[in-house]
Amino acid sequence: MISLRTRAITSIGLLASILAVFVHAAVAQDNPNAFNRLMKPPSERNAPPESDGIHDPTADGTLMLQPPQESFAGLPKSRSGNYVNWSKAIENELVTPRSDIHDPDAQAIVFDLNIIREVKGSMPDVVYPHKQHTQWLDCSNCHPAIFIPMKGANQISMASILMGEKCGVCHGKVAFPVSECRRCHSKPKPVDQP
Amino acid sequence: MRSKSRPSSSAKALIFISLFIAGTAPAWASETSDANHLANRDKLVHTLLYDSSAARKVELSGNEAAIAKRAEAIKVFEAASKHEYAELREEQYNRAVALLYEAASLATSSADSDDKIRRDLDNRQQSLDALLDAHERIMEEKHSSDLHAALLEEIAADRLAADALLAEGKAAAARVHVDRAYVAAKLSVERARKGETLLRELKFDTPEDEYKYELDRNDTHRMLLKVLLDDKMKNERIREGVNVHVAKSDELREKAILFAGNKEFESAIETLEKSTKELVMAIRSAGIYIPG
Amino acid sequence: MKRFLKSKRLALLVLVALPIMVAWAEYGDVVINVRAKGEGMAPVIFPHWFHRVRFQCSVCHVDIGFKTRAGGSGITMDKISQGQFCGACHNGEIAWSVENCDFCHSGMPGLETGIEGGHKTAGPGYY
Repeated sequence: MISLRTRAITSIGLLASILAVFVHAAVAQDNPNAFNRLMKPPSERNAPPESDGIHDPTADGTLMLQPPQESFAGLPKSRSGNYVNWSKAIENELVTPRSDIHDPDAQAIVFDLNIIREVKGSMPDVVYPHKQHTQWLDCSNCHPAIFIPMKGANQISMASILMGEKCGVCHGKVAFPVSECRRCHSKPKPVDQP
Repeated sequence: MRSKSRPSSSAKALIFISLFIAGTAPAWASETSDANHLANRDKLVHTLLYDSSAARKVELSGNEAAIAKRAEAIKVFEAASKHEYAELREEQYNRAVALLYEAASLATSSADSDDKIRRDLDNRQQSLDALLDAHERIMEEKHSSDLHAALLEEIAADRLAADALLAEGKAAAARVHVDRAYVAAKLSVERARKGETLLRELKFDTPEDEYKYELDRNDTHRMLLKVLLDDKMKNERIREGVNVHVAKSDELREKAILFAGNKEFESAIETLEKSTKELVMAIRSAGIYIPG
Repeated sequence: MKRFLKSKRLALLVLVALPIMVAWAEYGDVVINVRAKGEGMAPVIFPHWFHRVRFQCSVCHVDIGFKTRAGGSGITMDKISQGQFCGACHNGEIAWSVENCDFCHSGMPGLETGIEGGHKTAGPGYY
């Protein structure tokens, strides 16, 4: 008896869902003038695991995982990636990730050195701040496997970054994506320069 | 980047109905869920005990203690499947998992785990060497080479100890010493460079270097074309407009490569710059502004 | 009670999330399906965001020795049980232990190993 009721309700629900998928898809395609066509509305950001398209919604474990929105609610926002400004979050101690597996009080050594890289054209020059990076990383994350710690030794191009090399090892994967041009290209050229 | 919209009102109505049905789902649903949960666990633990990398390793190890441990895990698991009470079953599953892992660690030869320790140590050593190189250059630049000598002296004992331990095959113990040397080098570099701003100017040693840079810049814009315009290129009018510029750019690039082949790098650079400019114009013609 | 909540969440999900489901995996989620597929297990999904709130990148990518290439570390359950990789924390001391198979093995069947979440870079560096 019980199982019959369960099955009946489940099938009605499933039918409704399938129907709704079609209606939804049809509407989305039919309306070329939908508002903010290319902008992901906030409601679709940071989906909970069970509806993010990669977790199996029927697995028990999926439902035990924390939905990202729960964690991100109090963190500073950004326009892309996780929609969290992680460097601001750590700077303002809104997140305090451990730098040592066992010792919650261990302090990472933060290294305050800026490197400016000039680029051709009217694109602003790149400022690389060691400080924001060493709040998360250790020298050995990057040196010498990704960057040789020597002036002039590293040929970095956007092509290589887009191929997932150099900065692209992290940026575009976990750190803010390369679409955020101005967060790196942040030092405008002097006005009198051609 | 297909067009997306919120669900229509009819879709919303359907969702509402679904919500209503779900909201009225009574408590007996939890019994089904419990049974499902246990069935899932049964399957997962079964996989771990019979088919996982750990299980296979135990089997192949020939280590009697490990094999006996795994047999015990399987016994606990089989008994658990017959338990009536859900909580007891859970507990027994956990015990079976723990036993299997004990078996796996009994079957682990020290060579297995040393492999990773060794690799991690090598990486750390390379980082130490890179830091020491950087340190030497920084101290030379600041005319304080004696500070570099002092650092080398400070870490000499640790490096010697690490080498000695490594020779004995004790990688984990060696790591402690390499780590200590690494931290000392890191702190010294940090002190020397703190608060500085370094400028890497756009200067090229040879025209050939500048040509290579331009080639990279051209590649970059070609990739941007793909990244930024993939979706827009489906529109025929946009595609035509873009392709005019891309064709010009291709032509110029080929010319530039010919120039470079004749070692006429100045002309090659100039032509490549023009080629890149065409790519910028192609992207802009599709309605996306990028600086040129 | 927890189970009841869970089942309700599941029911809600099947009925509601399906129609409005758009595949927006969280930025930085890593799908690891190098071995799981062959072992009859669901792929592993590693949520970077959850872990970076709690640990700096260097803890895993230097101290524990995870590679910065999805699928490149050679993780096995056996190594985890020896305290390597995930097992450095997921040992019942720092974080919950390995008996919770499906907290990690919770991916949809058939996913490819790689980094999810849009804005991704491409090329040979991208596994």
